[in-house]
Amino acid sequence: MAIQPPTTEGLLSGAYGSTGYDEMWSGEVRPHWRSVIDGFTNAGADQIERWQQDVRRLLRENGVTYSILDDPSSTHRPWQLDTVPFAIDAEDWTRIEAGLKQRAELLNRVLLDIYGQNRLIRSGLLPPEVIHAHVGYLRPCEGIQIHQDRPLRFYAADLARGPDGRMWVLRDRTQAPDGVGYALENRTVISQTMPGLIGRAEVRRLSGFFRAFLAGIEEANPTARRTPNRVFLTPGPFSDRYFEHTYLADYLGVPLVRGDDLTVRDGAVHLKTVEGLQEIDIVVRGVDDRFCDPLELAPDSALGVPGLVESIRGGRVGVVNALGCGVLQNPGLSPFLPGIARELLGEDLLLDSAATWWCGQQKERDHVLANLDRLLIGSIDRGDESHLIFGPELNEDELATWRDRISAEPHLYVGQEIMSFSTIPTLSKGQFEPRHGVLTAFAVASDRAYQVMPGGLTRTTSERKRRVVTSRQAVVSKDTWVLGPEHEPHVSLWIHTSDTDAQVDSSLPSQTAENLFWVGRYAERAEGLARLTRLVIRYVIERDENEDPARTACLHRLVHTLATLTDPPPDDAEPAAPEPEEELLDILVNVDRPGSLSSAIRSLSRAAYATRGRWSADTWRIIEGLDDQWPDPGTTYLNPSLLRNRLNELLTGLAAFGGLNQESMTHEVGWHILDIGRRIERAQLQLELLSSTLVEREDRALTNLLLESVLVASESLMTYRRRYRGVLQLRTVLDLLLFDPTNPRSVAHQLEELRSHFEALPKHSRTHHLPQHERLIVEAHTRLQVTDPKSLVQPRSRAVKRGRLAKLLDSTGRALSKASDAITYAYFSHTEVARPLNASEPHGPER
Amino acid sequence: MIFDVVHTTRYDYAGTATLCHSEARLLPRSFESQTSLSSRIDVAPRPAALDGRVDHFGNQTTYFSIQEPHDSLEVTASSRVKVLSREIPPAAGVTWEDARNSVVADTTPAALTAREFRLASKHVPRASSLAAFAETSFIPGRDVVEALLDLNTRIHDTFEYVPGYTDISTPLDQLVEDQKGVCQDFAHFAIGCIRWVGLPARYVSGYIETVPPPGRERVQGADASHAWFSAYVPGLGWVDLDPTNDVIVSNQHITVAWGRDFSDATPLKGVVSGGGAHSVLVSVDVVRDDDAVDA
Repeated sequence: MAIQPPTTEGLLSGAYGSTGYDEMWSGEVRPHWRSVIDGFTNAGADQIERWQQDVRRLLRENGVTYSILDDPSSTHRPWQLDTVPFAIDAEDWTRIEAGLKQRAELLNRVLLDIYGQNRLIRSGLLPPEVIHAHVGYLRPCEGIQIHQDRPLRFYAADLARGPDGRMWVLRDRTQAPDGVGYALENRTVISQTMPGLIGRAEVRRLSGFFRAFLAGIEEANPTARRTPNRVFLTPGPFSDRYFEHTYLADYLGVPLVRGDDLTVRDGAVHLKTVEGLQEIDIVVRGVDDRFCDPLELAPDSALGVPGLVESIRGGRVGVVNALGCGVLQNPGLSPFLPGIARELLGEDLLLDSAATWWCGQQKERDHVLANLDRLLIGSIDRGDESHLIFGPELNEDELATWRDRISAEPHLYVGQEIMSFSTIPTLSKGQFEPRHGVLTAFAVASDRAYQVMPGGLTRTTSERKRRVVTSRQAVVSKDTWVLGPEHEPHVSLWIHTSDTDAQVDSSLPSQTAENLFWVGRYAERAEGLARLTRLVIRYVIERDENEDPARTACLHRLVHTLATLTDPPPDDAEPAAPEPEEELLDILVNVDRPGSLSSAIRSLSRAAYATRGRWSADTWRIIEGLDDQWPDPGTTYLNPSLLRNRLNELLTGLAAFGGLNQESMTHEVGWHILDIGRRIERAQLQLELLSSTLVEREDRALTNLLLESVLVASESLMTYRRRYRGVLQLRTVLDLLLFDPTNPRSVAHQLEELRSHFEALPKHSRTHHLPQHERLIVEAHTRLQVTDPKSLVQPRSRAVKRGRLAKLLDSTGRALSKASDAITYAYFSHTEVARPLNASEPHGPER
Repeated sequence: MIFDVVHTTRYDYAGTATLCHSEARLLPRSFESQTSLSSRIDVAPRPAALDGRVDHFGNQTTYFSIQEPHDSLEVTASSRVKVLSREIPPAAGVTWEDARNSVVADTTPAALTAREFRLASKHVPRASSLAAFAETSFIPGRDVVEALLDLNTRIHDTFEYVPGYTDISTPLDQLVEDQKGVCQDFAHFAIGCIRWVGLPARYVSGYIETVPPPGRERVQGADASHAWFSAYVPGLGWVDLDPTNDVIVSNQHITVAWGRDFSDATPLKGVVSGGGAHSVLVSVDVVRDDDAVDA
C-alpha cells in the first residue's frame, strides 16, 4: 500500500478560517510559521505523538509541577507543555522588545518617584489615591532603594495581540520574576525533544538573557564583597509558586530559604546554617514585598524577616525586586502612563494597554458604572488575573453589588475594555487547533539597561471555546520562538557567569537540615512499620478456625506492639480492644493517627518536598511514587493479600530511596544529618519491638513465635539460622539484635554509626567536652558494650518481667530521645519562631 | 506651656528572649503648635543598634535591636516639650459638603497630603455601621466645624469610658454595638465617621496633662498615653479634638505622632524571638514646668 505523503491540510483542524486573528493562519500559512508547519507536516502523526510523549516524560522526570490558584485540592499538578511553539517574526519582535524596554524603564522611573521626590503626584500627573490606596504602597520603603538605579530589577508583562495585529499589554508583573523558570524549563525540554526542528527554524537563544539575569542580581549587591552571598526567599512548600522557586534557586545555585531561616543581627541579614550564621548580601525574593518584614511591613506575616527594611536602609543587603515594587502591579496606573511617559521620557508609549478607566475620577466612574455589564472589573490591588471579574458574566444582583462596592470606594476599582485576542495553534488530537493565548515576556535590568528575553512563557486555554487565559483553570504552556538572525553563541543555559565561590552556597540552612533529619526518621519509620505489618498480615492470612492459641496470642501481641508504636486515636469511645484486623487497618491507613504508616508516608513526602532541591531526579520519582502507591485514607476494607503486595512495593520503594540516599547524595553535612535521623529512628523502633515482645515472660510456644517474629521484622532471620543453626534462644536473639555491631539492624550498630556521624558534624565550641548528643550516645553505647547478654535472660527468675532487659532497653531508648532533642537544640534551634511584642496601647485618661 | 514627660514601657518575659527588633514612636514631633525642646530614648538592656529617622508622616521614629539574651526590656522616653495654645473658631463659614468637595479639587501640597487621610485604613475600614452616627452630626448644609464639634461631644456622651474593655484588635463594629471603650477606640470611631462623609481625618498619639482630684497629691507614673483625632478643614488646616474628654485640643495635649490610625503611630512595637509569654507595664509622668519662662 502506498504511503500517503502528509499534507499541511491534514494537520489543521476544521476550526481554521472561522475565527478572528490567528497567529499562524491568514487564509494561508503566515511566512514565519512555514518552518514550524513544514517540520510538523514532515514529521507525521506518529512522530508528533512521540514528541508529545517525550515532552511529558521529561517534564515528569524533572518533576515540573504547577498549582492552580484557589484550588486547595491540588498542591501540584504536572505542567502541561505543547510541542507546537508560539512563533514570532523578527520585525514584530523588534517592536515588542522596544515597547517592553520602554515600559520597564518608565515603571522604574515611576517607582523611584513614588518612593522619592513624589513629583508625579505633586504635579497632578498621578492622582494620589492610585498610589495611597494600593496595598502595595509601602510607606516605610520611602527612600530606601536609592542605592540601585533600577530597583525594578525584574519586569514582566502579559501581552496579547488585538484584532488589529498589534500587541497589547494586559498587565504588569513587578513583584518577582514569576514564570521565568517555566520559560527556561520549556525551552530546555523542547530543545531536547525537537533539536532538529528548533535548529532549522533559526530560533533566538535565551542564554544572553539569562547571563543578564544572573549579572543583574549581582548588581543589587550594596556591600563591597566581591562574590556576594545570595539566597532565594520563598514562602515555602505551601506556596503555589514553590516549584518555580526551587527551580530558580537551583538554577542560580543559591540556597532556597524561608523567612525564619534568616535573621538580622548587627544590622545585617544572616542565614542560619548548621555551620553557624552566614552574612547575606543579596536576597532574591519570591515573597511579596509587603510580607517581607513583620516589624515595619505587614505585622501578621510569618513569611518575612524582622528588621529587613532597616538592614536595607543601612545599605547592608540588597533585595530583588526591591521592596515597594508591588505598587506598580496596579491597573489604576494604566490610564496615566501615557501622560507620565511624555513627562518623564519625552516619548509616547510604544505598547498600548487595554483601555482602562480608574473609578477615582467622576467621569470615568460614571462610564464604568453605566457599562459594568460590558467591562472587565478589577481592583487596583489585585493585578492578578484571577481577581478580574467579567461584567458580561454577572447577573443583575451581582452587578448591583459591584455598583455599590465601586460607589463606596471608587478609587479602589478600574473598569477595563474586554478585547478579543488572537489565537495560537495548539496540538489537540494530532491536529492544530486555534486557542486564545497570552505571552508573558520578561525583562531584567543589567548594566544600566533593560534586556528582554527573546522568548517568554506562552499560555493558552485548555479548551477551544475559552476566551481568557487565567491561572484559575488548567492551561497549556508553549515555548516561545522568536525567529531571526542569531547573535548569541551557543552556550549551555546552565552556565553561570560568576565564579560562585561564595561560602553560603555550600552551607546547609538549619531548616533544611531539620527537614532532612525528619526525612531520615520518617523513611525509617515507614520502613519499620511496613515490615512489621507485613508480618502481621501473614498471621492474618494464615489464620484458620482451629487456630493454635499461641499464634492467636502472638498476633494480638504484634498488633499491640504496632499500636504502642502509634498513638491510638484519642476519641476512641470503645474501651474494648478492637479486632486485630480493624486495628491493623487503622494503623495502616488512618492518616490522622499520629505515627500511622499513612501519616509517616505523608510526613516523609512533606519533609522531602520542603527540601525539593536536594533530591536527584531519580530520587524524586521514588518519593512521588511512595505517595501514589499507598491506599487512600478512605479505605475501609482490608484485603490482606492485596495489602501485602502493596507493602512489598512500598518496601521496595523505600529500599530504593535509602539506596539512593547512600549512593547519590554527596556525603556532606546534610547526608550525615539525614542518616542520623534514620539511625535514631531505627534504633528506637528496634528497642520498642524488643521491649513489647520479649520483656514479659511467656510460655515456650509463644516465646518461640515471638522470637521468630522479631527476627523476621528485623530482617535477621536468615542470618540467625545460619549462625545459630535454627535453635531459637532469647540470649542469641538478643545478641544478634542488640549487641552485634556487624548486624546492620542491631541497636549497637546504630549507636556506632551515630558516633561516627557526630564526629563529622560542625563543632560549635572548641572545648574538649563532648557535645550533649555525643555524650548521650557514647554513654548508651558503652552501657551496651559492658552488659553481659546472659545477665539479661535471668533464667532462674520467677518474675513476670525480665527487669534487667527492660531497664537496658528503656535507658537506651531514653538516651536516643534526649540525643534527638540535643541535636535539634544544637543544630536546628535557630529555627525559633519570632513573635510580635504586645503593643502598649494608649487608654487615655478621662479627666 | 512647657511639659516634662517621662514614658516608661517595661516588658517582662517568662523565659529568655534571644533577639528583639523594635520600633518606637515615642519622641514628640515639632510642628506649628509644638516644639520638642529635647528628647531621648533609653533602652535596657543596651541595644546592639539604635537608629532614628523621620517616617512618611513626619514622625520621629526610632529603631533598635537587642541581640543578647534578656528576660526584660525597658524603654524610657524622656522629653521636654513646649506647647502653644490653639484656637479654632466656632464655625468655619463653610459647609462640610463644600469642604469635602474642595479637598478633592485642591492640588495644594497640604490638600494632596490630607487626601491620604480620607482613605480607609487597617483599624478604620469603611464601615456602614457608622453611617447613622456620622450622618446625625453631618446633617446637610451644616458648617463643618459645627459638625465636627457636635460629633466630638456626641461620642463623649454616647460612649462609656471603660479601660480594658477593648484592645487594639476590637473591631469598630463591636464598639458600635457595646458603646464602651477607651481613647483610641473613640478616636478611631470619630475618624471612621469623618471619612464616611468624605473628609480627611487622622489619628494622633500623645499625652494629656492630668490634674489630681482636689486635696490629693499627684501620683507618679499614674498618667497614661493618650490618643485623639484631627480633621482637615480647608482654610483652617488640621483641627484636633479629644472625644474622650469632649474638648478642643489646646495647650494641655502633648502630641507625639500621627498617622492614618493606631498602626501608623504605635508608641512601641517589636518582634521577639524566644521569651515565651510576656507582660507589659507602662508608666507615664506628665509634669508642667511652671517656673520655665514661657517665651
